[in-house]
Amino acid sequence: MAHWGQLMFQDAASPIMIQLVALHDHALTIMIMVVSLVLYMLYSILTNKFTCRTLLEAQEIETIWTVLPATILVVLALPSLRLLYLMDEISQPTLTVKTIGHQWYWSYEYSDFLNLEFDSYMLPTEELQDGEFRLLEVDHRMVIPMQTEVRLLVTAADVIHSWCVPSLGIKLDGIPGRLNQTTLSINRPGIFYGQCSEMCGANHSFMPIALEVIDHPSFTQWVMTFSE
Amino acid sequence: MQALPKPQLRGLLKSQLQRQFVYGLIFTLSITGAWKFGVMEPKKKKYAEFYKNLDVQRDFERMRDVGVFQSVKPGGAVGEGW
Repeated sequence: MAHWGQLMFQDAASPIMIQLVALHDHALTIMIMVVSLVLYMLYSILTNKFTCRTLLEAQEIETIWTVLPATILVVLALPSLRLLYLMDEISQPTLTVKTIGHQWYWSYEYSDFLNLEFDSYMLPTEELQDGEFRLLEVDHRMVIPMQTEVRLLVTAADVIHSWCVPSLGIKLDGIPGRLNQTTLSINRPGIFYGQCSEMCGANHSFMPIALEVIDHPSFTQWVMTFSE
Repeated sequence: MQALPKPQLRGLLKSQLQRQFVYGLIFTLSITGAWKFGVMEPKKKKYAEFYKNLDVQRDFERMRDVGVFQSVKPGGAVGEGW
């Protein structure tokens, strides 16, 4: 989850998010390069007392400031497109979870198993225990096993919602009548938080997402409680 | 008395700009290099180190035994309330 005063990304918990952080650094490198060059040129022009009365077509400078930006854009686009296509790859998910957005809670269905569905409401501030996070804790967290490819299907029952967990690099709109699909693969155990990211009414800010990532035996044990 | 070398009389802006462009390139490359090797590469190394030394099972058991999970209690019993 985010901490007070945080400016950059949360620590990545999935391979895709690690790649997204690296791509962001790459784009920022290019941006720093361009901005520092422009600032230096601005400084040198402003402190310069010379003029050129014979400048007419300026073929050299026109060539430079056409070719250089085109090259920069290619250097920016290639890693970006690579990652974009990588994010869309779905190989062999072991588990499928369907997430349905409602006003104003999420519900989860694990249709690979019998009777495994539940609603996930935000815990009100007055019901929080010590150490729990305000506006992020829920009564029933979505539970998945770690280091497992999980297919996530997101939809909604009423208005458009958006299922977002920043540390996994996932934001997927839940649109009524449509299933959006992505994959999750989480590197490490823990609890990962997110919030609804599409305006959906009065309690849009009060329908968080909490993902509990545990080991396989514990997950199997948890699944079995639903079939009893 | 020695004659002074003839100063440059024309094209002063052009020669100034050519010089400044080189200085600008050096300035840009140093700042970019500082960002890349001072921030980007250490960040990649930190991630690589973290995942190289990570024992996920031990991490999970540590968190479980502290009691942060809802689905599994400390000791390994299944969580309640579902």
